[in-house]
Amino acid sequence: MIKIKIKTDFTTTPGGRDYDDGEKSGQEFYEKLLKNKFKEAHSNSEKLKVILDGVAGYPSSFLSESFGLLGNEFGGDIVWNNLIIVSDEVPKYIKKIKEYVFEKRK
Amino acid sequence: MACIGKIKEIGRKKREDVNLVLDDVEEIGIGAISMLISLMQELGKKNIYFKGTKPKNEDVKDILEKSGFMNYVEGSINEKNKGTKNIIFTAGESDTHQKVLVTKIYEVNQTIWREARRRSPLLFGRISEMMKNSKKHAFESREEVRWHIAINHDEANKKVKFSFVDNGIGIIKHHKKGEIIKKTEQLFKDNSKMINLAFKKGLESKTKKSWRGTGLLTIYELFDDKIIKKLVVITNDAYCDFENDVNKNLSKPFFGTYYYWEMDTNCIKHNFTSDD
Repeated sequence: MIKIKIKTDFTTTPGGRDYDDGEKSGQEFYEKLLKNKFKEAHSNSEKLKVILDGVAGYPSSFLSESFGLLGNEFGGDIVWNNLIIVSDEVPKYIKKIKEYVFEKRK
Repeated sequence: MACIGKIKEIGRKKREDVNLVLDDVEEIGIGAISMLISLMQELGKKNIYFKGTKPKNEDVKDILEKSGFMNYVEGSINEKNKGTKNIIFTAGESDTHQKVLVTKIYEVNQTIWREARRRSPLLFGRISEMMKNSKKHAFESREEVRWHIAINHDEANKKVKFSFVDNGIGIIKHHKKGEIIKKTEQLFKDNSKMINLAFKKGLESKTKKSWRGTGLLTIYELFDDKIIKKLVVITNDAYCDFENDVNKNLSKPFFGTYYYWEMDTNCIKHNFTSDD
């Protein structure tokens, strides 16, 4: 299984939605880490585990952008069936991420 | 609100400096202080400046001095009111606010729960979202962006008060640009009821339009989950007090968005150790 632990692999203080919002945005997370790791996992028929715990917190736009882009790129079903989200501190992030993965983007 | 409106009027019409006489003020909260700073900075950009006097009431003067207000004006601070945890911080170009916010949330948990270096992910996420939303949606241009967050500690009562204010266009005016408000205006006669329901997600089912991405829902979720209390939102002419279920339309609209809430030991504790 391929893993991303956001706290150590990306940042302890997630930013906003996109590069316009400054450093460590959801867009930056998607482009620099999430997309490639998911692609790697999927091409090896593995799942991608993303660990959200341990950071300062997540603006909703960070999660919305990063996972929304992922769902848009690879398809909601493919993403959700091959993604494991670990969020023991805030379990409700998991349901929100599922919504973002399946959200139709303009 | 009336006072804020009056000062804005002076700024808009008379374009002269404002003499703010606070001598007879008997009560002041961090919300009012934040709004005042926000307004002072907005008018300062138009070369309208403030001078004034502090309240005669010693307790009220102490509140003002301890709040962080004096960092934005010239004037002395009584020695006993220096060095508090209270802070008012404002918009800027850098992202240092996120890092400052981390430290401030540690202090919040220290005041309420007497626990050191504890993160509150939901609180951090919500305040960060307010900063981003304000920057992205409340203003026509980046140069105009102006928001203030005040965090005020009442150590004796293990309570922390928060206010966030921006002098942008307000939630209703912002959404009037899109379809959501047009559709909902047909359903509601007043903005306060509409905003109240928007925060509670009720508008989605009525209008079949999603308010997701507006950030409105998440602050209400914190209140609904009892992680925060006494949530009040003022935007344009809508006033919503969620704790007391009061919604009313203001005769003098507020051009911007204002949030107020509190946290104390009666709230649900939701924090985690930080091993940074």
